[in-house]
Amino acid sequence: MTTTTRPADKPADKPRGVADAVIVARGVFKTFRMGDSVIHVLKDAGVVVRGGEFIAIEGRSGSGKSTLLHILGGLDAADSGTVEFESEDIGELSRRAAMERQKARPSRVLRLLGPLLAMAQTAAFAARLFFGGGADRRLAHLRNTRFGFVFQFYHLLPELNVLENTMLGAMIENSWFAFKRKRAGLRTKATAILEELGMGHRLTHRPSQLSGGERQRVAIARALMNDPKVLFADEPTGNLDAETGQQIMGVFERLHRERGQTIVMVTHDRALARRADRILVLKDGKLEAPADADAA
Amino acid sequence: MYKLHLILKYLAKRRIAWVSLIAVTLCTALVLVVISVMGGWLRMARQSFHGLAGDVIITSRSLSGFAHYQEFVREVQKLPQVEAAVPVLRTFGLIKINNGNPDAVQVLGYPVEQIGRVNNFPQSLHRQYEAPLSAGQAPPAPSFNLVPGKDYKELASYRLPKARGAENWPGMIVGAGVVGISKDKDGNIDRPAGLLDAFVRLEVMGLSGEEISLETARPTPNYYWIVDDSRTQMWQLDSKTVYVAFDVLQQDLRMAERSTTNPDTGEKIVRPARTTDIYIKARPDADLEKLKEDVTRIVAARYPLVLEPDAPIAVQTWEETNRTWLGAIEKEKSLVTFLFGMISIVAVFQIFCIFYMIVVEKTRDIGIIKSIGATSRGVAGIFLGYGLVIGVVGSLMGLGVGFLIVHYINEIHTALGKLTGTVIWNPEVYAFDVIPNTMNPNEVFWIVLIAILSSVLGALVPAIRAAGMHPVDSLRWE
Repeated sequence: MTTTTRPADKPADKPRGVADAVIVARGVFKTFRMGDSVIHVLKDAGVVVRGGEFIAIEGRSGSGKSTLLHILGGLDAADSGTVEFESEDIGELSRRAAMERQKARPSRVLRLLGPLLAMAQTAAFAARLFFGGGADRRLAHLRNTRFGFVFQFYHLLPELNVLENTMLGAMIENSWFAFKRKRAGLRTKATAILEELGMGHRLTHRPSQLSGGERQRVAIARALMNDPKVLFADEPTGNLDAETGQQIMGVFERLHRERGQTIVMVTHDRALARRADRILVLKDGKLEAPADADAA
Repeated sequence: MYKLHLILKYLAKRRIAWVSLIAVTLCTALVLVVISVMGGWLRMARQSFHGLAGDVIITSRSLSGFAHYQEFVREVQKLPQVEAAVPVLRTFGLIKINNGNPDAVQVLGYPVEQIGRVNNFPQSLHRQYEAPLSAGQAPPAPSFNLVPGKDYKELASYRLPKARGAENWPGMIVGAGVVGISKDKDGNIDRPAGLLDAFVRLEVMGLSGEEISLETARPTPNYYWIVDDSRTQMWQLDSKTVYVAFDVLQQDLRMAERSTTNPDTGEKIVRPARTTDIYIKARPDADLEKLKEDVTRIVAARYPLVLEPDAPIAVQTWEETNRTWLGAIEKEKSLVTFLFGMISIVAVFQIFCIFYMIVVEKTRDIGIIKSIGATSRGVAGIFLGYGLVIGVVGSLMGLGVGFLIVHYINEIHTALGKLTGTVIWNPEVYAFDVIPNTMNPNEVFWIVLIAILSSVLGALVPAIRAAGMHPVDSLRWE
């Protein structure tokens, strides 16, 4: 990587304390309702993510790894507990944003009272949408400028080409005029990132014309475009063959090593998890150190 | 930035949205055509009615008319807001053209040399206005004079060998429809050959006796030569009206000034001349209601009854005179506009359904956009903007289609008539033999604006739904 911000030594080798933490999550609870039954996915889960650290969260399928990742990244709200990003309580922000969204759907009681009240509630939501929604806006800003997400299924927009997908975050961040002004610079930056990820020859291709590994590289490029403080990766190799998966892991390692990129990766693959600085295992809703010493 | 970018991408790639675009286009064009035709019909009716009878009319509710009209004309013309006042006779009669079948008509007695001061009658004439104008000549002053160069004596000898003084029969101008002048399937005006060689026997009821009453009236026949035809484009008028000289009709109706003697006293009694209507032309800036009041005052000096409702003589503005007709057209316009407006609501629901489908289909994309940093408001903005773009593009395309249809509506109508053999725009129903083909910019503005707002309205609920989506649920959606 040419945009190295930290020395090339392994960041985890440095002794750091809670003062270096970028994300601190404590006492996180999350339950899901499946019909009449309630599933407790997270039970008093907590984690401290330090700057420049590469953490792998390991666990079985359905253990709640992705849910925890979404909560840490402000995509989902915990039922209770605190999640702080650079001392800002994004857990509370997420809960408020969820409440703002929740009101879009008429409640059962209102549905019984009649469509007129439901319409009134929708109208109220619309008004809040256009004149309020402060928590949603703040969280969206954080996701846009401070976090980057890489998903198992790439999640590229099929209508946009590789370059446009990469620049989407910058398009969201900038107004029409600001984007027009910065366009050349942003394009150069996106092209450079894509070239570094070996996608320089595919700039105008659409996602449907790319292989799985190529799509994931574009997703990584998109996540890196706004220089995120933390890169969240949700089973980034889960949909790839072993060789391509290794290549993608190589990309993450390089990002961590050369840029000092903070990475929180979720995986069910112990072998992949071992390539991180630190492994945490999600078991019975709690995060704990792995049982075998090699993993640590 | 991303909103417009995605809107344009979706518009280009999601072809299902084109269905919405077509719906908006068709609905806009449909409403524009309907409102333009109906509005144009109303405008034409107003112009024609206005152009036929002046601005204010003194009218008799009975065919026996009213006296002292010269005095009224004199006094009315003194009013500062009046340009001219002309007496007109109106009655009904039976005509036979060239010994053909008799037909009932309305007969209007015009002082033809003056009538152009109060209405557009001279411009409706074919031989004395349209033909010279199309030949690049100045039209002559309208008259009932016989057509120069015709041997009327010889013409009469074919069908009425015993007729005497045929060369002195007065002239008559016939409504185009009375002599079967109409548009053919190609839209050309078809004028029967030998029209100006035809004579007409007209019988009106001459009001006689001491009392002016129909009970003592007797039919008064008179022969006329057709000297011209009038096409006001008001079918009801053109198909049932003939025009003759005011003084000739006044004589036939026995409404000219008469002197009689009281059989008991031997005293000489002068019966003043009568007419049925006075057409008054106001100056362009005149207040018609004020003029009506002033004219009513003049008439009331002789006929105090004019102040009473339903009096045998009345003063009316041209709109009041034609209230029944204009009211019917206005109501029909409102009804048709409402009905087509209701149909257009279907387009709103169609946009709603298509956008709802798009939102469902794009659920994962919404999650992706949100995970990258789009706000709920931004997501709503994408779909509202999408609706706005479809509204703007669709309504402008509809404006283009509507303009072409309205502009060429008579040609389209003629072509359809040829193709199917049916005539949709029947002049007997719609009063005019041409379909109005002009657009009102004010109406166009409102229709286009409503179309755009309807598109945004159709996209509103799906946009709110998209905005309310949970990012994680959206990402997991399959």
